[in-house]
Amino acid sequence: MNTKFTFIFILILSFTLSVVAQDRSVAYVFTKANGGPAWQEVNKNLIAELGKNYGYDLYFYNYNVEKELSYLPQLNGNKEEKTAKYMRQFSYDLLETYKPNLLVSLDTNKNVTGVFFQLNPNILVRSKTTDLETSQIVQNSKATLKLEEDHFTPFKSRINITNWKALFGGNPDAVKTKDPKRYAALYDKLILEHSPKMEGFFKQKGEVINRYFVNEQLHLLDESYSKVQNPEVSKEKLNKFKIIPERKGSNYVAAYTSVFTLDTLNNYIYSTMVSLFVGNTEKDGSIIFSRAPFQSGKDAAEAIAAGKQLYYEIGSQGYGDKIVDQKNVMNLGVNTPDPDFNATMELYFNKMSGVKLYDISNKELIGKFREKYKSEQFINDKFEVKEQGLNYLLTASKEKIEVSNVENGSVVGSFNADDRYPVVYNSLLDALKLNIEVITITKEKKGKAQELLLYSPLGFTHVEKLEVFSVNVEKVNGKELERRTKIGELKATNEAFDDAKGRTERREVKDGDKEIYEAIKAGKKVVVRLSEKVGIFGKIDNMNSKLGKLNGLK
Amino acid sequence: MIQYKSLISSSIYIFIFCFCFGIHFHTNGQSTPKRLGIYEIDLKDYTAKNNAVAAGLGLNTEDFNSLSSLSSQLIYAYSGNPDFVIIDKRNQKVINEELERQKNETFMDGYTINQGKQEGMDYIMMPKYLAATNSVSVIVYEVEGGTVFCKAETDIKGKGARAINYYSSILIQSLNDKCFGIQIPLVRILKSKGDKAREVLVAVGKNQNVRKGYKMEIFETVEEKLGDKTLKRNEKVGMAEILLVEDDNFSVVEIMEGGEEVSKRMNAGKQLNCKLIPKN
Repeated sequence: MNTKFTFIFILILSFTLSVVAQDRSVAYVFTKANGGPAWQEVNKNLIAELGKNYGYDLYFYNYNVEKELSYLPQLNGNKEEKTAKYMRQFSYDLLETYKPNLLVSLDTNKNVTGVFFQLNPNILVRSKTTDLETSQIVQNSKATLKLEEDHFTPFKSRINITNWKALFGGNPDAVKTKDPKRYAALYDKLILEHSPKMEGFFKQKGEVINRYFVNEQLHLLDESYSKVQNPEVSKEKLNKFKIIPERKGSNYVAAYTSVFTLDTLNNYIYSTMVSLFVGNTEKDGSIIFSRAPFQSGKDAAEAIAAGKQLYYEIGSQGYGDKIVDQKNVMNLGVNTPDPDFNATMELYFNKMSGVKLYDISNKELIGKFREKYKSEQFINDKFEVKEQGLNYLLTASKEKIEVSNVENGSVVGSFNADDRYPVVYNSLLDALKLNIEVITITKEKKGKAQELLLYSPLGFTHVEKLEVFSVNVEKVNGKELERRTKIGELKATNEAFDDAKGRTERREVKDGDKEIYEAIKAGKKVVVRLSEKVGIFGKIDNMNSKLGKLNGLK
Repeated sequence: MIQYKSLISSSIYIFIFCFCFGIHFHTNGQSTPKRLGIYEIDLKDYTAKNNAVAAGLGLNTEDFNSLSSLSSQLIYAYSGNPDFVIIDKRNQKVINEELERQKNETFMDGYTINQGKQEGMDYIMMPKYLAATNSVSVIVYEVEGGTVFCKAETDIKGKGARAINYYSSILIQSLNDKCFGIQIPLVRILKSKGDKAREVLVAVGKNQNVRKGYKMEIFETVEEKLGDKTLKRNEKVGMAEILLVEDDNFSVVEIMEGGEEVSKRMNAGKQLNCKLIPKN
């Protein structure tokens, strides 16, 4: 990659609505991962996509390799620059190669059946949104997107070479061995001939990125849930409700949207899902939610009749929590010498809704914005730096990752760099002397626990399975040591998604219903931990593959 | 009466054991954590020697990387142990930077931690690679007196990360034994067949970084009188292998050798301990 041509655009989006204009601004940072011509197209598409506004005001910035931050008024319709609360960084790798290998397909008798170029339909995308006032990372994601192909996709990932017989006179691989010069000449000819198809293919991929980032991720900055208003109830069922999004087009409507109640028990807030709805955006921008197939809507109507407020899900940040949980503040900063590794770690820990992650790796860039906003031009804008101190720092050295307590300088936890997410999560709970609490048994039958309501100070994602242990104290050489004995397992809620959820969650009991019931009812100390078993489908992150770059770090 | 005698002898034994190995308990059974500062391993010797006799030691880049992770291995092992507060001296700079940053006025309304609460150190651990003997030594200094508190050393046999990682575990065990009196006691027989102990609960777990399949030697510390001197000797009683690492503190071991003797001595109230053994 030629760094001279590497440049970063920062797009600052701020909301046109005056009420929230100073509270919601987003910065996109995207780097040119390689020098392919598709980049320009991607860039153009992205700006065009952002130009649709969706109720946001757009500001474009350039941050070059010399680390100079400059406003690009021409891309912003020459409008006046305002401060932004959020900065959004955006990087992707189209996995472009304009010189792919020429591949040969063979039948069972090893006869050539086809010759083709195979382009990579995958795109690696990362995004991170940082609060410029506090440096808190409010959102981050890493995803491999795949360009889905159908009859209507003009450019395909597989480019068939139909005239291979005429060109090579037989198996191209045989020509490659016997006459490398001739092969090289023919290969170059084919590359030249098919380069427009390759370029077209990569441009298509760029459009996928823009849709994903611009249309589908903005909702992450909205509230994670909102009130159901004007519900239509008939025959004791909730059938429909209509919402008018605060910013047109900005509310993301999932294929299925959960509608739930929020209740409190002792010091805990927890949600109870009452039905699933499907949202449809109307011409006027409003969204009509209709009851999803096979959903009775009865529970929802009963909740309304009982005077409860219903909520619908927008974001995925979660809604369950403990009302007073000051002692469990975990302000974490990731500080390792490798930017890629930093990004991976940030992604990892941001999945824990109980961890507030602060953007140390962008200290310099954040500082440039803050300096800029001090100028007279922004004097009437509401921008106030409100830094939050870190109480924990994550550092990496070779194969180990350490979490240090900043206040006293001690290492509170150390993990292997190849530990999986559940191991890190459990180690962190142990290191900070935290536990996943069983708030109550929510469903029981004949002395057996069927469902538990739990609270984890680190928060839950959907995918983790949980294990329940009873704790006995063993006296060893006069010292009291806790011994955990596994008594049961709890199910994952949904293995398809692993985004961050709230800190309270209901979990069905999978195994040990009687033992769990008896231990809780007897007032025994019960410990809940994430299952460290590796699932068949490998849904749980494995840090192993992401840490190759750790080698050579100090 | 027999039980009474046995109880007295057990109590005396436990007292002697604790006294000898420097384990001091408070009335609530919890000892004060030792504050341990761990420094980066000194690899100057490795670099110098390796440059001079490039192939002589049989060490390569992989070994170098593994060796340089030794401090992290020590931190990993001791940070999981509630008897220690670990200070990673390599992180001091970034921690100090963060502490300084929080003094800034932009934190006025934000969350800040308490300043001036940094932990002092009771002990300093300095790991060093010794090229002449192809070994790693760790010197533990007592900060208050400024003296060498103790030292542990292990030869490195074999090559590659796995060998070095394994010898790190041996080194940690040696430090635990020599410097901090940390033993791995056998707690209770869980399964027996006839007179033979088959499975035993031992007080070692994830906190000490043990894994399933690790081989352990079971021993009893006995006293030998040589003239007017009394010396301690670890008498081998049997062999075991870790069957299950239960949690932070406990594991179940399967007795591979000496099940009858283990059973006999444990039933007689003798305190048996075990230790990790070097691989063949």
